[in-house]
Amino acid sequence: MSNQKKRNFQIEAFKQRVVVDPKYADKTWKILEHAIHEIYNHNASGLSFEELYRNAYNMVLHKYGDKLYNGLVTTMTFHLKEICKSIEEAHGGAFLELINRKWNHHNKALQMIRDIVMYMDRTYVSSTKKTHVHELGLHLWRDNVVYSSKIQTRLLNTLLDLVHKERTGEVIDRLLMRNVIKMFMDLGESVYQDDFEEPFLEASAEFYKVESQGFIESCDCGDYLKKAEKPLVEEVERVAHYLDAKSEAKITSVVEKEMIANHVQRLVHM
Amino acid sequence: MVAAKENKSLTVAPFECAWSDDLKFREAGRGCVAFDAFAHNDVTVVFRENVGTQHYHYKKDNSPHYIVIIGSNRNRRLKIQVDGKSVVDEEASDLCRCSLEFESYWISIYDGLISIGKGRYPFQNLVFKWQDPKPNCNVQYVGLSSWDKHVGYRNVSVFPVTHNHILLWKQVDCREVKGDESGDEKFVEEGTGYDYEQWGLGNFLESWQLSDTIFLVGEEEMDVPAHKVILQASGNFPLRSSDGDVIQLRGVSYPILHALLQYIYTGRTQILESELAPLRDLSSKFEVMPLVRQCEESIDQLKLSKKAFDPCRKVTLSCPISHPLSGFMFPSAFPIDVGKLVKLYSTGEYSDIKIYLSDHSLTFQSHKVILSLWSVAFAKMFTNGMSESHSSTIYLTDVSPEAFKAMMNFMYSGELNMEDTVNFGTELIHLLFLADRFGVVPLHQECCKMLLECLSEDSVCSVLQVVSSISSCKLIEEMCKRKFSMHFDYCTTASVDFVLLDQTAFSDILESADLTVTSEEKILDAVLMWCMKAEESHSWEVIDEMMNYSDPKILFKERLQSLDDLLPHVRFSLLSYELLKRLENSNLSKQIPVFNRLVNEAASFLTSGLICPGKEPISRFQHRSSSFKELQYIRDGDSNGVLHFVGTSYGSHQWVNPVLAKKIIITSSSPTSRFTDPKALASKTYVGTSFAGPRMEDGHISSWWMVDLGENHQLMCNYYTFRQDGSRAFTRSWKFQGSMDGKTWTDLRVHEDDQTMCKAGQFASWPITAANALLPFRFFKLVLTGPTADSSTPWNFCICFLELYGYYR
Repeated sequence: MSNQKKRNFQIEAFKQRVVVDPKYADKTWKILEHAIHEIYNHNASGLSFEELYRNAYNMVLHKYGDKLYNGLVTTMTFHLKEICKSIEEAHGGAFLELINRKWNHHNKALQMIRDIVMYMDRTYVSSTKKTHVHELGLHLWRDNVVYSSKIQTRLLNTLLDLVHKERTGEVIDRLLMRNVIKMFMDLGESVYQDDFEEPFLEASAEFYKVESQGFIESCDCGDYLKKAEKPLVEEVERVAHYLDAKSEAKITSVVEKEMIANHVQRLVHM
Repeated sequence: MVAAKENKSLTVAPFECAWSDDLKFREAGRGCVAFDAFAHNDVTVVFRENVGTQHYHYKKDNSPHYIVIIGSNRNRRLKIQVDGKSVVDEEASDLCRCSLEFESYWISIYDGLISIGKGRYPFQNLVFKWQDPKPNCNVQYVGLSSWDKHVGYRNVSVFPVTHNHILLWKQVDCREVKGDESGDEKFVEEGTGYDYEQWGLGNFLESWQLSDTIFLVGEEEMDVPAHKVILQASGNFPLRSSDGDVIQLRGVSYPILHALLQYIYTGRTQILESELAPLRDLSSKFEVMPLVRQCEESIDQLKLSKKAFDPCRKVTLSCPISHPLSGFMFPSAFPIDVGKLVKLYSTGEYSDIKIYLSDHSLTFQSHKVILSLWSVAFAKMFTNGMSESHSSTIYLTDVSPEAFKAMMNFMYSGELNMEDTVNFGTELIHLLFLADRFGVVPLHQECCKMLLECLSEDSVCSVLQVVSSISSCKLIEEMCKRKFSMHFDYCTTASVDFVLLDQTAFSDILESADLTVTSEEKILDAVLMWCMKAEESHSWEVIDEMMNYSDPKILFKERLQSLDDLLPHVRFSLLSYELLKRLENSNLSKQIPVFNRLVNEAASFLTSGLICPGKEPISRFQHRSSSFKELQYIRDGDSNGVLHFVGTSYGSHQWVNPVLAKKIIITSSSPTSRFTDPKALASKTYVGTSFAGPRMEDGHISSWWMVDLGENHQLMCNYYTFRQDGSRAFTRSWKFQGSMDGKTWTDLRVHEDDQTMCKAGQFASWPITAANALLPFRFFKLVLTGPTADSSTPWNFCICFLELYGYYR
C-alpha cells in the first residue's frame, strides 16, 4: 500500500451510529420480547427473522448485551413457569405425555431464540463468559420444570412406576419413556445420573431383592439360576430401548448382586 | 536469571519473521523463550543456528532448525517441524488454538527435548513435550514469525535452562491425566451445537435444506438432494431439460454418487480402489474435470505400484488448492470453476432468492445456498421457520449498497475487490460491519487485513472509534491504540477526532507503556480537550482563560467526572518547576480539586523529592520509558541539532564526526568523491565544493541527500538548516521528506522557487509547521525538484552542511 493511499484513506465520522434516543434499548427489547412470546405461542411463522436478528445485533453493538441477555432469561423463565403450571394440572397418564410435548416445544422455541440472538451468543456471551443460550435454555428448563417441587418427585415416581409395571409383565409406551429419559440425558450427564439413574438403581435393587427371596424359597439351585438369568437379559434389553448405554454395566451388576452374590452361601448349600 | 528482555510489543506481518541479536540462547542448543502472543492462528517460533532474514520463510530454509507452530491448520493443531519436516502434528492439546487476546506461552529446548507450556511462568504448566531422536544441539537464535495472518508478540524473554528444570518436568507428567473434566458439557452439546468456525458448504452435502434438485440413484431410486448452483459451477449437469429438478441415475450405485458429491461439497473424498473407474466415468459424464483427472492419476499410480489389488483399500482424493494463501476456503479449495460461479451470479441463473435493500430500492439476485454456506445467520434466516423461510424475497435494512455488493462479490469469487471504490475507507468499514453482523468470518478477516494495511496516524482515531463496538476486532483496536500512543503528539494535534473516542479507549492510550510524547504538557492539553469535547485544538492556557468567564460544570459538562480518572495519567512531576508554578496559580487549579492536588503533589515532589503518603501508584513520578530528547533550533549553525548531538555520542563525549563514527549514515544521489563527501555535511568545517550530482531514477533526473539516523532512532523534525557551498548554484525548488523505512516518503516541507539562498556559503533554516512535524521518522531526504540558479550545473545539489532539529530518541 503506497503512502499516498494511506494518507488518502479517509473515514467519514460514524457519529450517526451513536444512539440518541434514550428509550432505544427499551423499544428494541420490546420488539424482541414480543417475538419470544409469539415463538412460545406457536406464532413464529409470521415473524421476520431479519428484523429480529438486526435488532438483537444492534442491541449488542450498542452495548446493551446485558439487557438483552437478562431480558431473555426473564422472558424464558416466565414461559417455563407457565408451562410448569399446565404440567402440574395434568392428570394420570397425560402427565408424562405433556412433559414430553412441552419439552419438544421448548426445544424448538429455544432453537429459534438462539438463532435470532446468534450475534449475542457469538460475541457478548463468549466475551463475558456467560452461559451460551442453548445451554441456558436447558438450565432454565431443568430448574423451573424438572426441579419444580410439584413435578420432580412425581416425575421420578411415574417413571419408576412404569419400569416396575414393565418388570411385572405389563406393556408400557417405550417410545414415550425413551423421549422423557432422553430429556434427562440432554440436560446433562449429572442430571441423568443423580435424578434418574441412581433412584432407578436403588428401586431395581429393592425389586430384585424381593424377587430373589421369592424364587429362592420355591426353587432348587438349577431352576433358580435359570430364573436369575432372565432378568439380566431383560435389563440389558431395557437399557437398549430407553436408557443411556452407560447404565448397562451398572444395572447388570445390581441384578447380579441381588440375584446371585447375596445368595451364594445358600445356593452352594442347596 | 533473565538473559534478555524485550518489553516492547511487536507485530509480525504475514510471512515475515522478526530476529534480534538479543533473542538468543546463552548456550547453544539449550534455552527457553517466554512470550505473550495474540493471533488468529499460526503463532510460529523458529529456532536456528544463526539469525534469518526478515522475509524468512521456513519452507525455504536449508540450514538445520526447529519450528514450533501453535494454532496451525486454522487453529486446529500443534506442529513441530525439524528441518522442514513435520515431526509432531497434534490435535488434542491446549496449544491448538491461538487467541485474539494476549496469551502467554513458553518454549524450551534442551539438547533436542522441546517442551511447550502455557502461562507466564516458564517451566510451569507444561502442556506438551517431544524428544528429538537426533538432537540438534546448535540452535541458538529465536525468530518470531507468522503464517498468513498478523501475529502480535510482547514481553519476549529468553532464559537459560538448567538441568533442574528437566527434573521438575518429570513430576509434572503424572498430574497431566486428569485434565478432561468437561465431559458434562460435551454430553449436552452433542448434535445441537453448530461450530461457526467449521461452517461451510460441507454442511449442505446431501442435505434437504435449500436443495432444488434430486438425484434418483440405482434401481431402488434412492433420492439424494443437491443444489443446482453448486453442481453447475463444478461441472455440467443435465439441469436444463424439461425435468430439470430430477436427475435419473439408474446404473450408478449410491457410494459412487456420494463420493462425487462429497468431492464437490467438501473438496475431498475417499473411495474404494475398485470404485475409482466408475467414479471417473460418472465425473466425466458430468464434466467435473478436476475429479476426472484425479481418478485417472490414482488409477495410473495403482497400475504402476504393482501392489496386490485389495478391494477394501480406500483412496483419498482431494482437490488441489489453487491458491495456497487462501487456505481451506470457498471457492478456491473446491473443484468449483470460479468464473462459472461468478457468471451464475451475474446472470441470476438458478437464483432462488431476491434480496431487496429497503433503504435504497436495490435488488440483488442470489442463491440461498451460497449465502448460507458463508453465514450461519443467512442459513437460519432461510430455514428456521419464520417468514423468510417461505418467501423468495428478503428485505434487508441498515445495509450500505456498495458494501453489500462487495460482500456478494466476495461470496461468489472469494476475493475482496473494493480498493477502487469511491469512499473506499468508509465502505470498507461498512463492509467490516456487514461481515461481522452476518458472521462471514473470512470476509471479516480480509477486511481487518486491509484495514491494517491502510491504517495511518490520520485514520487511527476514526477507525478506533468505529471498531471498538465490534468485539471481534480486538487486534485492530490494539493496533490503533498502539499507533495512537506512539504518535500521541500528532494524533492529538493534527485533528480533534480523538475527543470522540470513548473513555476506555482514551484511558488505555494514556496508560500505555508505549506512550511517546514530546512533553507532558501535550498530555495535559489532550486530557483537557477530551474532557471538554473540544471542537478545535486548544492548549491548556486557552482553556484556562475560558475558565475566566465559565465554570467547570459548563465547560466539561458530562465529562467533568472523567477529569478525576484521566488527569492522574499526566505526569506533572516531569514538567518544569516554573510551569508547575504557573499551573498552581491557574483557574484550573483553583476550580478543579483533582488538578490542584496533582499539581501540588508534583511541586512538593520536585522540591523535596518526597511522595505524599498513601498507596497510590508511583508511576506518576517516573520518566516515561520512551521519551524524546528536545533538540530545538536556536540559530543557524548552532550546536543544538541532532547531527551535533549524535556526534557527541548522545551528549556523553567530545564531538566526533558522526558519519566517521558510523552513528549516522549520509548518502547522496551521486557516488562519494572529493566533492561529494558525506563527512563534510556533518562537520562544521566549511567546504568550498560539495554537491550531490544527478542520477537517473525511473526515467527522471534526480539529485538528493539522505540522512539515516540508525535503526533505533527517530526524529520528529520541526526545523532544519543547510549551508550553500562556495558555488552560485543556489537551490530554488526542493522537498524535505521523512520516512520510517527508506521507501515510502512523507513530505515535510515543499519549496517552490524559494529565493532564500543568494550568497555562497550562506546558512538558511526553515521550520516544519504542518502536523507532519509530529511524526517520527528515521530517514530524512532533501530532493531537488527544479533546476538551480546556475544553468551550467542545474542539477547539482550544492550543500556543505546540514542540521536537523526537533524531538529525538
